[in-house]
Amino acid sequence: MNFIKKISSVLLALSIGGSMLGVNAFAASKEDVISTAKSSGIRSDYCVMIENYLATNSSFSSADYDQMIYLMNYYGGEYLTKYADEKFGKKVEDLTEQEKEQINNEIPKEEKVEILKEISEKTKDLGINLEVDVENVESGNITVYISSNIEKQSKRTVADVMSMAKKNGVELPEDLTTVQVSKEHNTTNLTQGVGTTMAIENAVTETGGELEFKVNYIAVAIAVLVVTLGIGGVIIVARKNKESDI
Amino acid sequence: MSESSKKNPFKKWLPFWTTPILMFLIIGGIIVAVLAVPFAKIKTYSEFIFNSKNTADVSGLSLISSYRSSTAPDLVSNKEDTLGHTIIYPYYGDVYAIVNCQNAGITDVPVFWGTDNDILSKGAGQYTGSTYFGLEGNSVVCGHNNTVFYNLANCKQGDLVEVITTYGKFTYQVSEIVHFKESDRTYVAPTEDERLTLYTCWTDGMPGSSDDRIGVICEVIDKSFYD
Repeated sequence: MNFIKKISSVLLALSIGGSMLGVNAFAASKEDVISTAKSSGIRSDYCVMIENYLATNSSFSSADYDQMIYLMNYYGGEYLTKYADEKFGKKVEDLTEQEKEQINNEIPKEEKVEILKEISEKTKDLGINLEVDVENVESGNITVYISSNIEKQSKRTVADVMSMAKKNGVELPEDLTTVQVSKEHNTTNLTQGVGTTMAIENAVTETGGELEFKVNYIAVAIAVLVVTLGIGGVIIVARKNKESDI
Repeated sequence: MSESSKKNPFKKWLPFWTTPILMFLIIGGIIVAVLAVPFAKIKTYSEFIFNSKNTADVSGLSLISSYRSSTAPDLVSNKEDTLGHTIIYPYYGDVYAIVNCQNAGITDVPVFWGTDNDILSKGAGQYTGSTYFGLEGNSVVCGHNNTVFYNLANCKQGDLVEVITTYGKFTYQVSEIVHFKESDRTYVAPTEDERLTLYTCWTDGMPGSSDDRIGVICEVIDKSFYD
């Protein structure tokens, strides 16, 4: 449910920015937001993500929560309701994870783009730049670029984890103290400056390692082999022809 | 020079140029044929060779995750929300745990909160759509198969996996080894039981990446919060 995720993310972003849309406030709570996410057909792992996010961000007012619920119902509920009924004759809350996924795959990409563009317009005023790559739609993919001015820097390190563990009497493996307080792990600095592109995550992430160097070597090796054989062939045959001519 | 060539220079130059071209094509064809079988495994390389544009679908955007600012305080849970214990929530990009599975040769792997490329180049990452360690649900951690989770495939049923976090120490036991496709979210989805899922790319010994994943599912056997 990619677009639902994008939407739900932006909904929260809109709320963070304090966007003012006409909503009927009913003094919602964090729990109401989570239960709305679950009942409006948002994929279950995204619901956990929203739950995690709200657990660590307590600065929202009930008006903010109202806003989240309103937008979640509008973008998530309305669109999903239509497709859930048409496709499976079900209510949104009764959809299985597979059915949600199927609906997401079947919603025309053009429609998704329109929704995202609409959201993009709304987020501009909030300092969040959400750009939809329309060109990619034709090739079967929608790419959304999001950037903000949030500083991307992490402070907690392995050393912190160790120190907390030790303080609490946890026995650490002997080599841990020497191995992990290395420069690389101890200075986890992810800063990329102003205008940082936000993190892009997949539920199942690409974990194939960093191949750039190996790939380049293999590419070069194959290219060199082909060219060498080709040129070799040309020279050998040309000589042969020349000899037979003489 | 032969008489016929003198009379018709075309006859001379035609084989002179076509023969090497044909040879080139034959050799090229042999190479393509040899590479055809393992093509699936080297398709990553082919993208670089042919400079194809990467148009991978973005299936998740963690706009809702925020990195720790320089003045950010620790995020401490309400005990009533977290089974009566205090959890120190990580910010996006924080190291908040260390994973060990001595039997498999996984030692002292730092676990960050989040799974973007920056993070995975530094250690393992926990999917932000999964549960914090120690709480009910599925805690999903992934890492690269050529670095931190190089030995993940060595895990066997019954092996112990130890997770040391900023707020407690948790011990798990490997209960199942699974293989799944990148598009299959079955094993990273939330669960009702408390479990740890570790996964990485499954390339069956080949270098590089693939659409296949190997997952190690662990059940919790001991929990020890610091408070």
